[in-house]
Amino acid sequence: MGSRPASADGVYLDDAVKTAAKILVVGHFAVGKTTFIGTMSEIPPLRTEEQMTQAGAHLDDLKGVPDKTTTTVAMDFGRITLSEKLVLYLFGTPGQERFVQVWEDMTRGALGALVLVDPERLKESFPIIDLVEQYGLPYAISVNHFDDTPIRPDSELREALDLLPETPIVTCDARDQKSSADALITLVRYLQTRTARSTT
Amino acid sequence: MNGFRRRNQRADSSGPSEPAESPEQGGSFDPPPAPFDPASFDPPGPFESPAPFAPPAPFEAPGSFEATGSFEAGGSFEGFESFEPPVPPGPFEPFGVPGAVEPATPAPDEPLDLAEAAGSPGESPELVRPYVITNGRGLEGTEKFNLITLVTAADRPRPAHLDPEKHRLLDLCGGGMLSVAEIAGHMRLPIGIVKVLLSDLSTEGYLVVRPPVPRAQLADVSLLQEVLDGLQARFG
Repeated sequence: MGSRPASADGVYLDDAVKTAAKILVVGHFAVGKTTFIGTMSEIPPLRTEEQMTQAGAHLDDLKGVPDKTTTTVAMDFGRITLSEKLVLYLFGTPGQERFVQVWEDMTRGALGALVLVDPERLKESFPIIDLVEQYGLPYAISVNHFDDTPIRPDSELREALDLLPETPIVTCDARDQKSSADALITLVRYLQTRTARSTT
Repeated sequence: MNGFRRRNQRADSSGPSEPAESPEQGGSFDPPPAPFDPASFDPPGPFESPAPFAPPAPFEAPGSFEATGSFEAGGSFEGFESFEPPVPPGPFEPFGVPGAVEPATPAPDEPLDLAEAAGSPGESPELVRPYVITNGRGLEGTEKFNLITLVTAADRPRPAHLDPEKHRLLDLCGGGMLSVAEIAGHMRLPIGIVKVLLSDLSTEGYLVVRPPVPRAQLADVSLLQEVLDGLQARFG
């Protein structure tokens, strides 16, 4: 219990690691994705870029590029070695609907998504949740809670965000590791119940 | 779905994907530079009005990637104050910002997403450079790699004439196993480029690749249980 794998503080994975799993941490700009990942990751969070192809509906400015173009988007990620054999990656995913390619790549192979929500800016989460649903990714809602913010009742959030009754809502301070871990655990428990239901 | 609020509010707003108050949106990312697609490469078109969100630091435009050191903002996960200086080409630099893993402040200035990716338009002198790294090769053959494919160098001498970027990559992978995403992050190269390099090196037998969990096992009860057990053991 609590003993870290030997490689946890290093750059490289333990040689015995066989399996990598992925959970997405999604949310609108400045909702705390980076903080959450930084809090949970065993390595200094890394950032990289992904190329995207997007439909050209609104890209009239790019003359001579028919139908599609590409762009890049930055994303950050962290790593948690969960056992000798298993490593979990957390990917902070920008919530822009038009970045279809990134979402396809990111959601492929993901166990699920933790949707970070700021109760003061609920509306900004709407398109994010739409996107997660669109890609069929199971998710839990993690509501930002800082010391001075009032807690809104779950029922209110559930209605505003149009959540299924089963969708978990957990409050979380992304600066706090225990709190952030609890949010992830809530998500994974929910994924388990879904799996159990679909396989029985 | 059964409720209305989210859907209705979306319908009422002018554009569901662009809430007006979101500084990272605002259309500032249209048109994006098209940095790495040789087929559709085109110099960035006229940029729209500058972002309402003005990065207070010298971001580079996303298109101005170089083989190394293009992520000025790399690792600045706690706001805009911790930019890394450009990293000179050469041996990989394995860490992000030291200490960046420290629990951060509440992240009101989360520097990722588009606000950053958009950066300041206009700096795009070297848009095609990453494709030079891949010798103009496209993304075909890279399907076996995704973000969390695990890779390490094979125990095998490498040829003397290897491309510098492949040398760097094998240097990095020689130390142990990493995911594709980590390799890209450490090398400061776009994922797509890294996949191409990995694909070549793998085909040539210089890499050991551990593929990700097959789709069928993703919802596997035992995998989820392992994840849960791991989280609880480590943080519970």
